[in-house]
Order: sequence, then structure tokens, then C-alpha cells
Amino acid sequence: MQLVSLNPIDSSLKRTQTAFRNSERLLPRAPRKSRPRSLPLDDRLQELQFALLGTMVALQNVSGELESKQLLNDLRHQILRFRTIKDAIELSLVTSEDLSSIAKEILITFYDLEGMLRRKTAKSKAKPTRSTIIAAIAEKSRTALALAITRAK
Amino acid sequence: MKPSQRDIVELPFNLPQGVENHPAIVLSCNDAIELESAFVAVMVTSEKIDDEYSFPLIDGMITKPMNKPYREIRLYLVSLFRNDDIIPNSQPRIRVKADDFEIIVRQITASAFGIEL
Repeated sequence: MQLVSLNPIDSSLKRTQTAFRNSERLLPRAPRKSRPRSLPLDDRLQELQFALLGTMVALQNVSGELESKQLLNDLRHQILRFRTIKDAIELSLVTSEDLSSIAKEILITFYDLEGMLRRKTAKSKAKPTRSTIIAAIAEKSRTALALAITRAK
Repeated sequence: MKPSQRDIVELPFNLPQGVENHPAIVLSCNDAIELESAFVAVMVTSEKIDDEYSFPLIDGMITKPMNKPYREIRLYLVSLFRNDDIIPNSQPRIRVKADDFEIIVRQITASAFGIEL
């Protein structure tokens, strides 16, 4: 049931891909002055970052080794999909350095989450305690949220 | 042979079961390699363990595909080597991409040393 928590990222990724295609179609033809100040892809990436934070919080309710392992596999699948978007951003001539750095930070956050889940899965085999990983996830979530809010100002 | 940071090279790892040759990612910065003619590297293996210390190394993270279908970085197997220890092979030069190198170092720090950056 907790796997549903990955759906926001999944749909956000789809929107990101659509936004990327749209921005690629529109921007090269438009004169520089008429380009929008904020790229749609930029907004989608911010959304994705918040969705990622939501997933981190939802993970606090995950229990059981099987569920954690399934969640880890699903997250790795999401990471692979996100990597293709990040590569597309880097190859595109229409995107800014800011956009690439946002994508990089999201990817780092994805992998941090992967690392936490990997360690949680390993610990659940050895010792059935969740307090350490929950505290780590909560701390990571707070830090990332503070960063996102700072950037949004 | 003088390696550079992020290079993947073949090295003899001194493991509990004996010395085994494995690919490895050079972690040291180029200035340190220049100064000491030595470097630290983390081991890569095609054995699938997928535990707390196993970080999958996929083709998207490296500049050219390696000739193994599956690879893991063993995050705690970080060791010091001399430049002369590198085993020459006919493989083209393969490097880890810059962003992914940063991610790998974060994973090593968190998993092997217990410090979250």
C-alpha cells in the first residue's frame, strides 16, 4: 500500500518529460527577448523535488523487509528514468545551467534516498529497528525542504 | 601509468581470500596522485551481492560501456595503490562521469564511514 507514495514522482516525471518536449519545440524559434523568464521544465523539476520530499515522509510508515526491498527496487527504476531526463537536459541547447544544477541536486537526493533505503533494508535483516533511518529521513527531508524554500524566494 | 581521478583501472586487491584483480574507480584528486605517485581507489565487482555496501554501477554513469552486464561498487573496499600497481589491459580508457563521481563519493562516505554529507 505504501508503494502508492511513489506515484507523485511517477506522474511528475511524465509532466517533466512533456514540459521538456514543449520547451524544446517552442524556445529555439522564439526570439531571445520573448523567451519566458521561467521555463516550464524548471517548474516541473521543482514540483518533482517537492514530490520527492513527500515520498521521504511517506517512507516513515513503511514496515517490513519485503516492502522495503520492493520500495528500493521501485526507487531504482525511478532513478533510471530520471537519469534519462537529466541527460536530455544536459544535451539540450535551450536549457540553462541553473536547470542542470537543479536536475543534479534532484538526482543526488534520489541517490541519498536510495542509500537510506539500502541501509534500511540491510538493517531490517539484522535488527528490526526503524528509529535511526526514520530520524535520518526526517532530517534529510527538513534540510531539502529548507533548501527548496530558500531557492523559491 | 599515471591515472587520473574518476578513471576506472584494473588493480590487485588484497582480500581475505587472497589477492584478486578487480576494476576500481580512482578516488584521489590529481594533485595528490602527482605528489605521492599513489592513489586510493574503490573496488568494482561483477558479483551481485546487493547489500548495504553495494552500489550498482550502470553504463549511464561511465563514459563508455564496460564488458560486464552487471557491476557493483563495494563501498567499503577503499585501498591505497601505487601507480605501478595498475594492471595494463587492452580496454579503452573509461571514466566515471563527474556528477556520478560526486554521488559515489557521497555513498562511500555515508555507507562506509557513516557520515552523511
